[in-house]
Parts: sequence; structure tokens; C-alpha cells
Amino acid sequence: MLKNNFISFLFIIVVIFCCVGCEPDSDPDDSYSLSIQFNHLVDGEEIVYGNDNIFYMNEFGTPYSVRRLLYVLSDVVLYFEDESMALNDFIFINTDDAETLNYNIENLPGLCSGISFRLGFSSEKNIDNEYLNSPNNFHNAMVWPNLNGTNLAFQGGYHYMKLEGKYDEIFYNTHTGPTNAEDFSIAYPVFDFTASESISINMNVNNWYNEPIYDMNLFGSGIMDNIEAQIILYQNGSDIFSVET
Amino acid sequence: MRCFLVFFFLILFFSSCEKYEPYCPEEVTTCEDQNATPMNFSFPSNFPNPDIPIFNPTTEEGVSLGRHLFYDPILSSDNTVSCASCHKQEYAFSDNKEFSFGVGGAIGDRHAPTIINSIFSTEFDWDGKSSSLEDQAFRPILNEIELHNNNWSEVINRLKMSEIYPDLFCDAFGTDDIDSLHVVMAIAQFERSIISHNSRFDQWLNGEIMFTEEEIDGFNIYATERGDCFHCHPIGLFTDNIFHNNGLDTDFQDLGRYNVTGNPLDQGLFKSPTLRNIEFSAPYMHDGRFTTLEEVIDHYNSGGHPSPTVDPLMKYVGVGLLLSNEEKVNLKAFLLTLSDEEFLNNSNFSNPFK
Repeated sequence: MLKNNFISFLFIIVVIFCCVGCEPDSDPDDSYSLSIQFNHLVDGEEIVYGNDNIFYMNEFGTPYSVRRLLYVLSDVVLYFEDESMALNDFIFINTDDAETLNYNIENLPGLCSGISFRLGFSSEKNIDNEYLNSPNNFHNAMVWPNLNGTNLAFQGGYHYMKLEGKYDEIFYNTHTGPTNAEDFSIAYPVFDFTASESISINMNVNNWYNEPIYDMNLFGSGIMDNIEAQIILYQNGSDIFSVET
Repeated sequence: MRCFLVFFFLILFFSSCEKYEPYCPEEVTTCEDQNATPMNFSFPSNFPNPDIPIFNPTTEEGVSLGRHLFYDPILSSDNTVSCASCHKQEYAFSDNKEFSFGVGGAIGDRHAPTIINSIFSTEFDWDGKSSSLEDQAFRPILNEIELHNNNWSEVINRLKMSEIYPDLFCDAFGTDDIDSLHVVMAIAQFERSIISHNSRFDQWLNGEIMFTEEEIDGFNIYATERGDCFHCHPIGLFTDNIFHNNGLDTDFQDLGRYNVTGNPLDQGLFKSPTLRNIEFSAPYMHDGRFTTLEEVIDHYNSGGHPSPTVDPLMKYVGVGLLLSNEEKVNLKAFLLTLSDEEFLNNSNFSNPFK
């Protein structure tokens, strides 16, 4: 009994020493975070999703609605006063899944003052079945078909974006991705902003169809193997995003 | 503060034991812990990691118990209906009837969905109202048009009185104190073991067999926007595990996913089923309205019916895909390559009482 008491006493002493050696509870001043909210706008107004709710007008004069929008941002780099930091993960946004409309990054070395990213995956990262186990059902929602060599237009990987809705009384699927194995992902230069822990990344959806003009009637409902449509969307995609604090 | 709490609880811990043992053991079970054998699954590299809850690891003994429970009408109030009454192996663990029969001949209002490859899903039932297989397994037990029990006590009493179940529970969970949670855990374990991945399509992907020209063309129709099947039934699991309105109706008799979410955009949406073994899971759709694959293909080829929530992936509502007869035949030829004879005849999934 005496021996057991002594062992317990020693154990408690060790625990006390451990506690003394513990790092203090994290000081909020030592750690920074960044909260990103994703907004999707037409003419500065948040989109109202639905096949028939609101019809927006693109530059070609085609009214269109937006039912859903899904896209992936990869190669995300955050910029601070003296350094930058690349994220290991990509960001998946799905307007049908509210959980994906905010993205938080913890334990940053300082206040963030800039961000760069790529819409979609570069060829090196757009690998068939590479992201099978990513959260929010990413794989199933964004997989790009691999026809196992029977159709070279489709060699696997993932969509960059799926923008879907109705124009006139017809459905459109503006799906961008590695068409004919060509890389149409869009790398954006740094968006600078006032150092902050909270930013909004806004997509102006109408810009997908402007400059050069994208004619939904010409390209039709499905464009996954339409190089011409993909090139126009690639060109239009250069100015779809803005970042604000 | 955290360290202080650790210290405080340690003192409480020591003072509560008569002897300074690592813990205070008090056996509550009446049978020996059998150390159930963990079960490992094999599946292709284009399948995701399975979704197995930490609290219910799959074991050989648990699967065996679940298989017995799945096939045993003891779970129904009059000992006539089991899970397998609606989910039959020969019909790809679906039912060949439009609506399945429960106790007393009661008829359900949705077609029995296949449960193939459920281990890779996170939402269950046509409308996703169940968030786990365990949750799903709870529902039919007390459902008045399925197994029709008044309460769990009567189910548990029947199991306790049986000759086989106390031992099977002991083997699986180290307890013969049978309760509802362990019943559904075992059924869920068996359902997780029902994996199909050796169809002719899989063999073709692996370079083991050749496809015919018709099957290759059918695959091209399937996996491009010519047929546009792949968006909702992507290659691999052949389901996206997402809810869609595929243009079956203009006015909905069954609001589907809306009944779970209350979101108006979800009216008339149902979960995409896997197309693996689609040859055997007729009739098709949530209400079993189509009896043949030809009817299903014709539905999509004609474009389906407009409604406020029809999925934009149904690009050609009212117009249709405009596939030729030859293309439709080829598309069906491809769909038949998803049949997995080894799976359909796998004795590990069959009725253990026969």
C-alpha cells in the first residue's frame, strides 16, 4: 500500500512538471486566420438560383437563369507582408452545398494581404481519380470522363467548372475542363487587398459570356468536347473574379 | 487551465479506486468477448475509401450475424417478411415488383432501391432521409407497411428466445444482451459487405476481355454528352450519390428529396441509383414505372417532362437525345456490361438458412 501511494505521488509530480512545461493556451495574437466567403453575382447582385426564378441578360442578349454552379480553385497562394504560403488543398465550391461557400484557413503567419489561385486544375494535377476521397462529394460531382482510349477527347480528370441553368426554354451546361486533353484551366495573378482576416471572392457570372461574346444558341447545351467554346470561355474567364475585404 | 483540469481528474481517478489499478473493471456481459475478426474489403482503385463508422467496424462475425438477420423473417411481426423480401440477390438486391409487399400484404409506395455498394454512400433511401446504414436499418422494423412491429421489445424478445441469435450476438459483439442498436449494427455490417466490382466492364478496364464494337459505341454514348449518362452515373460506382429530377413528371405525386430538406428546389428529386447490375434490378425509377431498359432509354431519348425543378443535366427536355435505334441498342449493350455474375451468385450474400 505504501509503495502504491509513493508511485502515485511520483506520478502526480511528473504530471505537474508536464503541466508546467505545457505551452500556454494559444494566444490569439500569435496566430492569424483567413475566412473566405464565395459570392456569385450578376450585375452586383447575388444570384437567385433556380431554373425559372430570375433570367439574367448576357451581352449577346440571351436571357439565362442559373440553377447551380460548381467549381474548383487550386494552386492557392496566400501573401503576407514578407512571405507567401501555398495551400496544399484545393477549394471546391458548390452552390447547392452551403458548407462549401465559406473556407477558413487557420494558423497563418500574419494578416493576409493577397491571394492568387487557378480555376480548375493544371494538367499536372488533373489526374484521373486523383481526388476520389476528397470531401463534399467532390469526385462524383466533378469527375471528367475517361473513355479508356476509345475517345481521345475524354481522358479523365475533373471538370474545372459546372455552370448550369436555362436559356430561353433550353438548358445549358457550361462545363469547362480538359477538353481533348488540352489544359484550359485559368491561373490568376495576385489579387491584392488591405490586410485582413476576412475576404470575399466574387465571381461575376455574366463575364463568362462577354468579351468575346459567347452565343449560347451557337454552342448549344453541351460543350464538353467543343474546343471553340472552351477557348472562348477560357478567354472570358480572365476577369470573372474580384476580391474584396 | 487545461493542465489544471487534467491534474484534478487524475486525483479523482486515484481516489476512486480501492487498488491503484489502471482502471476499475466491472464485467457486465454474460458471454466471453470473442474478439471478432476484422473484415477487409477489396475493390478497384477507381472506388473511394469505404464509409465505415468508427463505432461499428465490420467484422466477419458481425457480417454473419447481419446476414442471418437480413434473411430472417423473425424481424417481422408475423414472421413472414425479412429485409431480403424486398432486396433480393437475384434482382441485384432490389425487387422485381414495382412496389414491395410488407406484413399482411401491405404495399409500399416506392420501389425497393438496390443496396449494392452502399458502403460507399453517405445518404440512403431514394430521398436520402437516412444518414447511415444503421439509421436506415431502424426504419423498416417499426414501419407499419414493412415489418410492422409495434415496438422493439417484441423484436428483441423473439431474438432472445431463438436458438441461434444469442450465440451469434456473442460472437459478433461479445454480448448476448441483445438490443436494437446491435441488431441494426449487424445488418449494416452485412449490407456494407455487399460489394459489386467484377462486371465485364471492370474486366475490360483491366484489359482482361475485349468489348464488342457495339459495347464500345455504347460506352462512348454513355460517357459523352451524346447520351450524357455519366454526369449522374459516373464511371466507377456508376452513381454520383446526388439527388436529381430526371424529368419523370410535370406534376409530382412524390416530392422526394423535398420531404427531407423542405427546399422548393428539391421537389421531385431522387437519389441516382447505381447502374451496376442494372440488367437485374428492373423495374426502374423510384416508383418502378419502367419495366425494361428499353423504356428507360426511351425516356431519356425523348427528353422527359418539364417542371420547375427538372435538372439542367436533362439538357434536352421535350426534345430528347435523338439517338438512333442503333445507338439505343448499343447503349443498352454497354449497360449490360455492368452485370456482375460473380456478385449475383456469391454465396457469401445468399440466404444462410438454405
